[in-house]
Amino acid sequence: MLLKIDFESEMPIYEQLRRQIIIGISTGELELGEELPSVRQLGGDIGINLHTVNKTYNILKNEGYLIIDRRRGAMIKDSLPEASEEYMNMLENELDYLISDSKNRGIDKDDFLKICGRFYDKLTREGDR
Amino acid sequence: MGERLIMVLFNTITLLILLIMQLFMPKITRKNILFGVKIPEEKMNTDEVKNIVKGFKRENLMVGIPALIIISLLIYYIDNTYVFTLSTFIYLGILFLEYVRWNKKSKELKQEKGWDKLGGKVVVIDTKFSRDRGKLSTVSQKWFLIPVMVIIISTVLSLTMYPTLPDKVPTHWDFEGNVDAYMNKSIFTALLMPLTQVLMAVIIYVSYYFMLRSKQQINPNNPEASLKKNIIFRKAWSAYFIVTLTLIEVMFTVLNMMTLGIFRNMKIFNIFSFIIYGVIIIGSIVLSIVLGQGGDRIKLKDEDDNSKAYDIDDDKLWKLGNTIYYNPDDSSLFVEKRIGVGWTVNVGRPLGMFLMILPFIVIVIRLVLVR
Repeated sequence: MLLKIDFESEMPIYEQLRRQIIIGISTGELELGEELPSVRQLGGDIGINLHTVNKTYNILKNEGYLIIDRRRGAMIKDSLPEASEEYMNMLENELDYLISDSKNRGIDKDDFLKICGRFYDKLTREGDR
Repeated sequence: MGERLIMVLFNTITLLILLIMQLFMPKITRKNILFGVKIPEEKMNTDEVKNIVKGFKRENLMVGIPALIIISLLIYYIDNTYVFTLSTFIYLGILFLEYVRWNKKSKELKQEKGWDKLGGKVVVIDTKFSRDRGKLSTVSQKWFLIPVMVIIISTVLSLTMYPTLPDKVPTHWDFEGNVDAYMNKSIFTALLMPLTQVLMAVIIYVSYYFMLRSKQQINPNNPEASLKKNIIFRKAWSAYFIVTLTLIEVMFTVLNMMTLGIFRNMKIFNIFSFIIYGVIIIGSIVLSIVLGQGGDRIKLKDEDDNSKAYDIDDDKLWKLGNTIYYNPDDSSLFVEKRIGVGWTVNVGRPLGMFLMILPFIVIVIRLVLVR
């Protein structure tokens, strides 16, 4: 998949990487069991420090997305992580904030749900391919 | 006397090739680079930019040709090895100063026009390329077996012919084919040529390997097309490395056969080596012009050029007239050159710095040792 890193973004690079890999998995651009580039290769190609890539890989490993094999490097797990109770709490907190922020800005429930629907539909479409 | 004239002429031709390369430089560099300075691609067609390119060419001809004549006359009349060796460096220095002058002008233009505010901040890379670059981006390493076989043939020839060698083994010939240097017979003398061949193979294999490892650089403007072009570029150059190595090894094997007394026709060897040099030089020129740096000059069939994202503005990471890459935050060691075609090192990394100054150390040691 193509990774796009914005060097001027407020979001740290390791977080940009993490999110894009998660999105890549959901769209199917990254397949289950696929090997990711080594820390050295990816860091070199993006032009960033190896620790940054390492950080992303470790976070994704702790979240249950990756396994890090001593010889083969980072690989996407064959089975994706489940929505644990901890995750549900986090999701609700985030949504609570996002929905509030949206409502303050005049986005009503229908519009908000429409946006959610659009992204979900996009994923199922691309996932089927 | 005749040989001397040929040597000087050969040197003149070498310098002339350097001048021609300098003139072609803007044509083979990436399309968004103007003398080391990143310019938005769509601005490259403006009159200001065209005038800079024209001015560069005119000035290089006006300075480069007289300098070429003066240097050639000097080395013809002053019979000194130092002068001869230095002449190439002096000429390169003159060409570099010319480049730096126009690099400065390009920087000024960029600022004057406010193009320095347009640069993007986004880098795009492909994970598959990053992971499988060995399989994806170059021709197979197995092709190196061909030159290796040539070396083996040469070595076997040396070993089987060793007992038949005379006490004084010819190692050098003048242009007419008369022996002008001998070495005492020893197993080392017999294996000198195969050892040289091994060294050549190592040097070219290392270059191939560095190319393989070099950083992925694709244009966020059109990542898919840019990636395809980059893969064509790398495949073509890796094939070029292997073909070049094979040709050189064949040539050295013939040279070895001359040392061993199997083959004696100097004329045929001269013609043969001339053709090989020609193929190697012309091949690199053609590849450079047709593909451009990073494959940027390749035209793909179904390419749409409508996206307007700007490539990242990394001028500040390129020092000394935008020729040397210094970025301690970048973990890659080998990156595309900013001007011309090929790769360079990141001197922001200790190993990169070492590789950058290594040739200079070698030159100094040679100048001190070889008097």
